[in-house]
Amino acid sequence: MKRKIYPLIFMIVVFSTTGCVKDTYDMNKLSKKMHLSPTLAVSAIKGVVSLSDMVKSSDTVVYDQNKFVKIVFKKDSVVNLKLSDFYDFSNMLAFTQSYTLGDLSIDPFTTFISVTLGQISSGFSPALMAQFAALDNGSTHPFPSFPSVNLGEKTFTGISNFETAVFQSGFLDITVKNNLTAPLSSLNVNLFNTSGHSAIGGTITIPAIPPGQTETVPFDLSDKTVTNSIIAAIVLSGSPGNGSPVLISLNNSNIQVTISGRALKVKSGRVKLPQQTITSLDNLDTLNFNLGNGIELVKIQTTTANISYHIQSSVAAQASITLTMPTAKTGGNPVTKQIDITGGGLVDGTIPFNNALVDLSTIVQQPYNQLPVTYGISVNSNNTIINFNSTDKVQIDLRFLNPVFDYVEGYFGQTVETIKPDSLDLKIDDILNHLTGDFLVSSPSITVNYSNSFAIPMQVSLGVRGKRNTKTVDLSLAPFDITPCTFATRDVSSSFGIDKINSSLPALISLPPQSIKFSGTAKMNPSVIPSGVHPRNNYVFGNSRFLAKIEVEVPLEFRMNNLQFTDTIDNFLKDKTGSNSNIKPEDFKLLRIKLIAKNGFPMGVSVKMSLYDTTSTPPAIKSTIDATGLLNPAPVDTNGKSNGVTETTTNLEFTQAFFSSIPSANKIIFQFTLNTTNGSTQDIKIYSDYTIDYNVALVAQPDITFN
Amino acid sequence: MIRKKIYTLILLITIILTDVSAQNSQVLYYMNLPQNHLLNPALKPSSSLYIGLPVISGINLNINNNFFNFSDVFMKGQKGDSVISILHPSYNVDAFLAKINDKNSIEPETSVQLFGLGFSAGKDLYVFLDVNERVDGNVVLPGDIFKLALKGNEGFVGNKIDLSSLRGDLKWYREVGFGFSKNFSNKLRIGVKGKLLFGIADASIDNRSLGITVNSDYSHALEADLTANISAPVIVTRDSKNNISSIKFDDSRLKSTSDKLDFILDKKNLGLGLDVGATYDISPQLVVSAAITDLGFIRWRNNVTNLQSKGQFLFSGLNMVDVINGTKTIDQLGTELVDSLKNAFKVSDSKASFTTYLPFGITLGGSYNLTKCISVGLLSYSRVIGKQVRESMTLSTNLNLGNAFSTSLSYTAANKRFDNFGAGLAFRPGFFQFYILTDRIPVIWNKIKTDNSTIPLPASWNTLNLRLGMNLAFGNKVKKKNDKPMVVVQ
Repeated sequence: MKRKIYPLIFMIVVFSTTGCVKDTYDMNKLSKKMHLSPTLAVSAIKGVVSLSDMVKSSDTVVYDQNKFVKIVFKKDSVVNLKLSDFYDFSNMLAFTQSYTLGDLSIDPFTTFISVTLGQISSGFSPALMAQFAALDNGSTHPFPSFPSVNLGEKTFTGISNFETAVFQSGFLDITVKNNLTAPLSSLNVNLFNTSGHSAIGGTITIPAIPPGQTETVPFDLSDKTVTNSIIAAIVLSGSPGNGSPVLISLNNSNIQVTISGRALKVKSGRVKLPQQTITSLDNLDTLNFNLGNGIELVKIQTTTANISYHIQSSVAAQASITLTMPTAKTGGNPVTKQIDITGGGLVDGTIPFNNALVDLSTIVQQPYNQLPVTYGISVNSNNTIINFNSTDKVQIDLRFLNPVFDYVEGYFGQTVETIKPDSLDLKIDDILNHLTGDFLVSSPSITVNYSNSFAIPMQVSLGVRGKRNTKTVDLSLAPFDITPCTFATRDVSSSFGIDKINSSLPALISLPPQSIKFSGTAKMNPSVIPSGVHPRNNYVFGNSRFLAKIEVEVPLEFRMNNLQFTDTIDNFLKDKTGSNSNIKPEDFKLLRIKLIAKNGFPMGVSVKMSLYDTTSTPPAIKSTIDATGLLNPAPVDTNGKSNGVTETTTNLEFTQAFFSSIPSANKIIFQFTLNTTNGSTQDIKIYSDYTIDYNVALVAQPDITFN
Repeated sequence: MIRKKIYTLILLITIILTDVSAQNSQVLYYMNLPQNHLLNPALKPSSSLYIGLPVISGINLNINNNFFNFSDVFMKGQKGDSVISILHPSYNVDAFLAKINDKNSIEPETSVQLFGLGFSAGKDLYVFLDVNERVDGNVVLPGDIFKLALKGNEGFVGNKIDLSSLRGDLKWYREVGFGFSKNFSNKLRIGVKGKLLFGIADASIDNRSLGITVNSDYSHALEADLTANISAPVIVTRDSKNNISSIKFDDSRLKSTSDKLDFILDKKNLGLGLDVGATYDISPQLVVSAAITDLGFIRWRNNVTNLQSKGQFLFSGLNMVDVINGTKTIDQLGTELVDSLKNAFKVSDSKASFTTYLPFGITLGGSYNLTKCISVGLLSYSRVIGKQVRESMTLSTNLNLGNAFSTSLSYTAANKRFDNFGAGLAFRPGFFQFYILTDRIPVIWNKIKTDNSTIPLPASWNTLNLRLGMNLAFGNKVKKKNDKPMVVVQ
């Protein structure tokens, strides 16, 4: 029996090793909370990327034959200065000259009056008058003497070549012919203008005149006003009579008084001006060219040009003006021009100067800027009485407008053109306000390539000052010369450079400036001593211009020492809009980015990202992702070239704590720190074949919820 | 004292062998039933003749898994009687994964006896013929799949996600077995059964290599070399790039009854099988036995489709150089990646015949007759599936009262479970012999309440086994004391 107990005990033990548990599962109370939270790790992206992969060579990014990287900025036509920007050739001549005609000649004139013996005898006593009447019988008789007799006033017939004239000079010859058969004793003549009965001078005494003879007495008309109607008041002193029998005829015997004007020059009046050239002028004048202060022009070779004229005449007579410029020659001939102008009129026109070589240096006293001109003025009233005054003028205005010329030779002065001060605001304040640390670009350069067709030496002084807050850096560039062209080589191309040797450009660029102030001067003929003798061998040409293009070259050779860029931006991780995005940060328990990088660039990067709450007092950082040493710089040789790689492994862990801080932060602070290898002591160089061998893995633990 | 030590030793062995599995009717082995020759052809029932009628004489259902139960997927919550699922935040996934094996199998099996005949011929010869319709399946899920799904791949960094044990095989076949057993000495009896196998349909995965190596830089190296063999009327369709886009069952080939009969009675997929067994009487009380069963194969020739994929692929992240260069977009990279993956594991199809092997069993048993009617038995059953071996160990107490009544109570350690209490019951009123047996009586039940009903479910699903049927049994040779294996009736 005892033996049979063993199997029973055995079975009891076996049964007792397992308990009997009975559960009731009420599936109506099955929790609907379901989630899955696997930790997934995957290599997301990888590759070996070189700088030449990231940035293709272009006009801006240049890889030289050694694969050294340069940033090149080129801009054409930075400067495009035309001739007109420097000089105003459109109006370098302003010649205005008035020519007063002065006293002009008028033609001579003659007029006479006759007084018969019968008219004379009417002034005798009655007896004597009767005697003479008796003797007028066709027979000869001794001519009786008669006493002084006043013949009264006799009017000459009209003078046609003036109505009235004030003579500057001239003579009025008074001629008396004794057509009596007895001698006349002297006689007195007084002349009066009919109009106003004004006397023309005093009494003119004519000496005794034998019968049949003529006696003339000249009368100076200077300053006399004469009209074309003259009255002569004649008083005869008498006659001694002629003892010889002569024919006495009261009607056929007379005396004739003739007045003749000669050598007449009038000051004014209403006159007829015969064709005459003004001789009171010297017929020589000078056209003064003025291109600017200190500019001395000696030659102008025109292509197409005109001298325009504007002539206004106050002379009532027609005038003709002849201008000749003996040193301005076209085809070897002096330029000349005759210009007619009607009385009292004006005329505009041009004098062709095409293909003219204008020599402005022929006047010894001033062998520049002066063009001699000869002129002649003639007038003619064309047999018409005109108003005339010796002060009448002809005004000539000459302009050398808009000439197109081949070249201009001369001395263009030691002018100093001021480059208008300007300020270039780079508008990077916002960036610079977030930037700290040291940064130095070692070898930047600026090259200005220009094409110059001004044959004028010029020196440029350029003042550039960069400013960042209170710190300023001057470019400190010495004045440099602009190479002029020559007459034979009318265009020259050259360049000048600004680099670390001749300036403080590296320090200026590395500032980096918030704003750059420009100023400067451009000095022409810089080597000329103003008070000394200077050659007039500058040339400008009709197509002269100064073209410049700029080329800024920044070789990527620099150093950075804790160059930090910090910026605070709105918390973009925060769901402000309640968007229905399927993926939200809070859906992750963990998000880790693992970066394994073999950095061949001699430049390292560190990154920090902090959730920041500005609404709390004081503002507080809620959580930080610190990726210090995200990329460590590669080692370099003594030349600053990378000669190896530095491997870094960085884990950026976005934890649930980080995600839970997102809603309470309204800002995110990003801080990027850049360092180059031996950043404070050595420049590094960037080559296009630098590479980063990177492997970015993503470790995510999503909290996938099923509802 | 010696017995005490033996019991203690057996107990320890039972406890140690925790990771064992069953795929048989262990209870049947020591019962006086004609069907026990299915487990060892040397076993002979006491009846001199039995006839198994179609379907009703034997239905066997086995479902085994070695890694999960209902309570592993759902558990009681902390609040009252609430229930939480495996995906609930409070669920201890680590505890679940701790139960997961490297190889996690689910093995459903069912067989229906279409015909059975056994009879004694001569003094000790027993001849039998069986026709069984069988559907066997086995799926092995690598433990890394569960870890990958629930914990992600980070835990594998520096290691390999080994999926090489992924396996699946589902076959439907008919076996016709003919065998005999005979005493070759007073103590030794040997039985042999040859089987002709007719395959009807099969789908299996020949996994030669499958895995993902997660490198320390999180790059992933994928390798696959596997073939899916199908013997069934399926249609393979391709897309515009000639890639296989779908595999569908071809209904059109089974429209008529004739078509269906042709399919079911197909004889082109032939195979052979063999069962060999022996018993040895050490003493009148102590009998040992051994058997190898289901050793065989089927050559599938009809309706064959082979889908093969072999390749390697290394994904170490998108190479952004082209994107940085501007020559490609990220979308293009993604498309190229997918295309590369497809090309690396391009699936090709062919019509080559293939062979599947039956999981075979190795049985070692011993019984000790305590009395004339009562015996205790110890049975070891090893099931070999490909390269995997599953063990189970059964202790049983058997009561055989002539042909009239036979019963067995068993305890089986299998599938990591120690609470597999089985029982079998057979009784024979006249010529009819009824039996029902199971290797595991679900003594622990869970109630699943739904809206309208309460469903009882066994707490443990590791082993579900049921065999039942009715034989026509004639004669009884117990009195001749020739029932060597198990039954001793004085």
